[in-house]
Amino acid sequence: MSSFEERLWSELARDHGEPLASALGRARPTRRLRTRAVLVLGGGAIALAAAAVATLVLTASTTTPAYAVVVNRDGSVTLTLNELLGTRAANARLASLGIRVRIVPREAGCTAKAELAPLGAGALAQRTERRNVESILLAEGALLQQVARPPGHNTAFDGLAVRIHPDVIPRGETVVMTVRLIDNRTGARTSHAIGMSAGLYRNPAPSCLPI
Amino acid sequence: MDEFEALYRAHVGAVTAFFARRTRNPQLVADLTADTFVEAMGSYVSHGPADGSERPWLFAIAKRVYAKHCERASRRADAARRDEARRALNEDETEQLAERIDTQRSARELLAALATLPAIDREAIELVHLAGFTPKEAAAAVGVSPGALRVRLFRARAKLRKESTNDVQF
Repeated sequence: MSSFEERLWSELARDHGEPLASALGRARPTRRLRTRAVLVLGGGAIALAAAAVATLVLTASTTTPAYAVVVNRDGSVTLTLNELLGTRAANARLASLGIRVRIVPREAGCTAKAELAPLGAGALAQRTERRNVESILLAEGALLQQVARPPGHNTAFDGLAVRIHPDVIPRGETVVMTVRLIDNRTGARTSHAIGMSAGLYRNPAPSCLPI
Repeated sequence: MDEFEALYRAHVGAVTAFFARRTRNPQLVADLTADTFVEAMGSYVSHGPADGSERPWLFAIAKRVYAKHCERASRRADAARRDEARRALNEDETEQLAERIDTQRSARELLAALATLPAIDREAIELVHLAGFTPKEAAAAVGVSPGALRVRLFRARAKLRKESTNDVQF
């Protein structure tokens, strides 16, 4: 490196190194926790209608980043959502990566034009060979794959992480995921969760979907 | 911090060259390079790169930094403030950056020759032929599919061949 580049690194490490090192230290355990998401399906293989295909439920969290989009070595993308507020930033990040996946709200008054694409043959939500991992197939190949399901967890979760395979999203179509707040009542207790569904839509993808 | 330092050392030259293709002012190249890595350090944890996508991630930040600079420079008051260099270079550093800027002269001329093309096409040419990105990396950086990027590259190369009068070869 040139002397300018060496000096610049010294200044960066001196002026900005401590916050980064501190953030890195905090982020490592959090990143592991974020994979503890659960895909809630009806169990076993479920034939998918052309509408909303599955529901993913997670508790909202205020201690972790609202979203994360990570490109994996195999070209797939892992999307982690921790709260509804993260959807706009997550959409911007997905768009910047050229990935045709959009997260939209479900709204009672939504009138956006939405045309569902016909699902490919064998479009099923199914359990994969790995126990505790389930996938949603929207076309040829797995488009959405829930990443990990911790043993013993079935009702309360720390976050949601789905794996997206952008290469198999058909040309001219977009995976539209919807999110909405759900109240779960267990006896006298009420907890809030985020419900998510996904479908394959022809472009232009809708900006919202009706409830 | 070690991982970020490794990223810095691997890519600081490419980021410096990115700005050297856009300005002939060594002081400005120094400031914009510094701004890029300050922003990169700030977002490394929350919005950092995945394995193998460090270079597109850094270039996306560099693009934003340069766009902000252009916006500021269009306002006279801010442009005047920018003249007060925040990271004063010594003689050796100025000379080193001036050399870096000089080596990018033909690249600046090449980009100027593509001025009539859409911005994404220019960017595709720059990333693949000047910055050494793979088409897949460049596609991710500009936000199009690899197939679409190849089409844009083909179109841009065809225009270059048609308009070049000397030694531009693709």
